[in-house]
Amino acid sequence: MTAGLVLEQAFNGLQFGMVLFLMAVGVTLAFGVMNLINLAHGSMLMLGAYFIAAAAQKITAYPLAFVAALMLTAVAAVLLEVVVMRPLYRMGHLDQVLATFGVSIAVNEAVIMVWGREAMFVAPPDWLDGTVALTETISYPLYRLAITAVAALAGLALWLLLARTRLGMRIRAGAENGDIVGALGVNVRLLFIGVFVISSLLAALGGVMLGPLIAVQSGMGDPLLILALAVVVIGGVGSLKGALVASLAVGLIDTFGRMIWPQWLGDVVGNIVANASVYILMALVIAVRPSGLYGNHAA
Amino acid sequence: MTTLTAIQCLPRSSMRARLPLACLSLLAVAMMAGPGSAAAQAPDRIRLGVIVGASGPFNVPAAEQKRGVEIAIDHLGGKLGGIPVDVVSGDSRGNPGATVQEISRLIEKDRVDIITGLTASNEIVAAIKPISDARVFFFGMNGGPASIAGEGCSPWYFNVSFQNAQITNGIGAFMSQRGVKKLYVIGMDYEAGHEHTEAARKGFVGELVGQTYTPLTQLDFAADIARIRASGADAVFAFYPGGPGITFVRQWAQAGMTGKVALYSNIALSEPTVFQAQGKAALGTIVTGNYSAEIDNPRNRRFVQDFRAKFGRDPASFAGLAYDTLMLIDAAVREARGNIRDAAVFRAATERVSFDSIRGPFRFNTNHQPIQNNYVFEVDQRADASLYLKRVGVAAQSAPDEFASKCSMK
Repeated sequence: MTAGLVLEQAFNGLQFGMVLFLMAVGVTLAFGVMNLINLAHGSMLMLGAYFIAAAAQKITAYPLAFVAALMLTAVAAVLLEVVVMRPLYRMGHLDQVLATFGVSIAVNEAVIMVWGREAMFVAPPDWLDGTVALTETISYPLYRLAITAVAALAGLALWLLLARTRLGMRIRAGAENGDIVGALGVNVRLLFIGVFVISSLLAALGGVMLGPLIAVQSGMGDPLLILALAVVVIGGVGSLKGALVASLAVGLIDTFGRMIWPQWLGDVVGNIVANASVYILMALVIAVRPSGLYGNHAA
Repeated sequence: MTTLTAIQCLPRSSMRARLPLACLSLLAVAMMAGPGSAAAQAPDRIRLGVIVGASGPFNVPAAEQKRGVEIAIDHLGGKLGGIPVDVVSGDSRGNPGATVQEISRLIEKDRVDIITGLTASNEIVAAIKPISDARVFFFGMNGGPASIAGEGCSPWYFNVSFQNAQITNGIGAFMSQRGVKKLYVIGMDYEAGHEHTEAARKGFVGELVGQTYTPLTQLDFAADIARIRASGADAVFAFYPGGPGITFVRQWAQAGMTGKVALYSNIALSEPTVFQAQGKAALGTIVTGNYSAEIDNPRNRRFVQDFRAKFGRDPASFAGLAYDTLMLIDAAVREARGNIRDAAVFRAATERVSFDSIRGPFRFNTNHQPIQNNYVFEVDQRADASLYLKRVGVAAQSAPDEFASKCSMK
């Protein structure tokens, strides 16, 4: 393995980890603040990707299409929160799992009705469609660097929001004890809508950024949701710090595992271990710390 | 058998008045036709069950199959072998359990004479027992798993599409012929992924520098593409159908691999249902397959022209093979002179029928799988920038599958 290749794979792992973070942070926020297990979270990623595909057909300026896609997702998130999610906050986790799984099926079918079954085309903006030379022989796609940068900025903005603003303070307080925060005069309903929209926007941002890289089609968010759930379990359910650390760990372990295990164990066994590495990590973490790396909720 | 029916018809005291009339006419028919030959009557109408995985993970190819059937029924004037056809639809949902349920419903409730369709290989495997038990002929439209081409073959199953490995066979030799020395194979980690990558290696003379099988749900291939580049391969064979194929091809181009490492596959990777989403990233990809819109014969020209007029793009092989399957059934019904309800007659007629396939030469092998060409196509673009599969060679000429010798058809 050359140094250039290690560097390239480090970029790949980082980028994969940051996309996972965009998904996982929403899952963990919804659980931490609203006690909601949301299996429809992958649908928000899918909506983000479909909205950028649709917006890019109408609007040529990429930044405008980008903003339009996120605004459309926000509208969809508000509707979903008010119509479906709100009654679920007080229900048991099994009810939430069933209801949100139903939502994901409904949204998957809805995009087929609107945009058809076949995958949509999403082009990256021209000014991001090049490569950067990492070493003399290896060049890296500019667009993948942009994904990492956008996800890192979104994470930073989220941290500023939570740590430095009044809304963030209320969200953190709501995560500790929603009833008391309500009793102190905070409009918990609005607070919850805000948290749900922020979660959805982060997932949709992942979808918008992944659009040019993966197949934009019905159900595209579901495989990422499964990985995001693994990340949340590893990091500790409800913990933002845990989501970040676990996302990066999963991204890097998965990426380097694909390089290293086949070299050590041969193509056949190495492939199997590489494909299972995320879940092996999850099992190890749960064995040592049942509530995850940074979890303080009883699992 | 006719005689038995006629005896059962003899009036009994409890019978209603209109029954004897029906019995009389039945007796009359039986007497006119003579003993034992009444079964040779062609039915007034044929009930055709068309079952595809319309919902579930294979809904894109299934929708394409339905488009092919639609054009075929239209070209046939709503008749099979001159007999008006009633189409009854089923949805196998990409799921073996649902397939068995839907097949049973088509046979028992809808009383279909013939069944055709199915989209995924696991559906076809699941369908073999119910159709064989019920003694109903099934004509496969898409794919043929190894197990039921060989030991598990059934006289009730005719595969009009391809035995799975058939659409990859010959690419190994073709790659060597093109000067490929170092090959890397990569595919999805399930039965078909392994079957196709192994078929691709057959006939390849050179070094295998690496092989990778990725989980079905993997969305990011950056790490694997970096490995391929580091391996020093001068060509890769990649098996990624449908959505993952879009993802792989786009990430391949984005990583700057196009033109540096040749990308080979079969038509599962790059075909008209994914062209729009793959865009220019697919250009230059070389795929093998038994059908494309570019195959030049009068029947295919007519099909492609009408398909384009109706759906605005080239038909994918799912549509072409569905169309072809209906055309084969039409020819077989004609060959049997409509006598589809006599299993021995209809089976023999189907086995010997010659039909002008839109894919070129076609006949059934002893295991009811096709003997056919496997072509080599390159993804190219037309003057209007739309992508198409340009024919650049033949990977296998009138070739059978490799499992026929294992099949002892009863």
